[in-house]
Amino acid sequence: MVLAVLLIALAAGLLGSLFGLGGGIIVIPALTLALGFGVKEAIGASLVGVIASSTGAASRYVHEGYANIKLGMLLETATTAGSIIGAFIAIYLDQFFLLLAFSIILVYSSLHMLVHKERMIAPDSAEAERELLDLSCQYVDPINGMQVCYGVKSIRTGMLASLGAGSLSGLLGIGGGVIKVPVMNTFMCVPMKAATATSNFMIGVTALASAVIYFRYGYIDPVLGALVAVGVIFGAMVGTRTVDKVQGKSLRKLFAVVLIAVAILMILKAFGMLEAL
Amino acid sequence: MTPEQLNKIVSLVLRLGMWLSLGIMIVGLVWYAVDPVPSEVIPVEKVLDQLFHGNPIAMLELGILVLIATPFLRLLTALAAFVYSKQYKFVLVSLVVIAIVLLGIFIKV
Repeated sequence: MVLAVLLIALAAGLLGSLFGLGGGIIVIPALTLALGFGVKEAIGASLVGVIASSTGAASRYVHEGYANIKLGMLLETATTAGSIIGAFIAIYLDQFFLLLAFSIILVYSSLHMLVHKERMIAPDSAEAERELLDLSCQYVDPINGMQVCYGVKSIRTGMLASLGAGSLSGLLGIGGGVIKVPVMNTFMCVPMKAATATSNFMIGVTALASAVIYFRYGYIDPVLGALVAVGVIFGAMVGTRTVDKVQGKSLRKLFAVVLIAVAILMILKAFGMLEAL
Repeated sequence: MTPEQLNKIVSLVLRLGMWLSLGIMIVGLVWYAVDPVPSEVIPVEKVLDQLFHGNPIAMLELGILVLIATPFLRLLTALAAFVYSKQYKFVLVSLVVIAIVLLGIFIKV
């Protein structure tokens, strides 16, 4: 059992840190379906895992300059607000339609990422928005040692989508990485590696309020939580180093495949075939 | 403050939080394996007290608490860095995030 939990957490940390997802999408179904834990225990452990994944991955991504702190913090205003809104709509709205709607968005983003090439804009290009807040950023891609400088556009769309991503995490308890990464990458012209790194940086703060509440109510099993956290941190250590060896292009293609997998999980949940997600 | 300096400070806080919590949790897990007790949740205010009574669960909870506190410390660090470098628009952004996180905690508690 201990080994199984550690392995699940290791996989979640590895995939989570690579793709900017919290890893809840792996931890929650695996703990409930494969190991028979209760939904609340699994969500509690997953929240600790999301923070572990974010902290473990971001500590390296921020240091290497992949994560865009200013962009991340601006979008955090929307994701945190969204997570509160989501918790409230969850009481009034039917989850069936929401899950179905989100899975359609995911399939669409996935196809968009597979069909279209990544587009980047220079920080000083006419398209880059920098009047109100300058979010342009740069990093060195270790795969070829080239400096990547990029501008950010469509900040309003990004804020709106982050609000949606935050609501999703408030509604379903999964991080909004699946929404944030494609939006940053396709609408805001943030390079894939920077988008996944920035998403990793953000998810810890989005999960924070829920984690505190779960802790206060005693829903975080200390042994399970610690096991998941330790596994996730080691997984993230491997994941953040794997990124150095992967082309942004390949990362983008793999991400599109992950989106389809997540969409399938959501459809299963919508039709009641998967209790916890 | 250059963007590189901001990255260094923020990542330092994240690293400290990660290694500290990881260390505490690993010690706690080994301790729990040697001396297993029922995995019952200890209320936050009793964690330190229980730790001195030799309860490994308290050690595990301490590690989880340090981990949960890390993103919040990261927010405060970024806020301080933006104040120090007089980037007032981002001071505002940081304050809004901190306010919403606190609101989120108090609305539901």
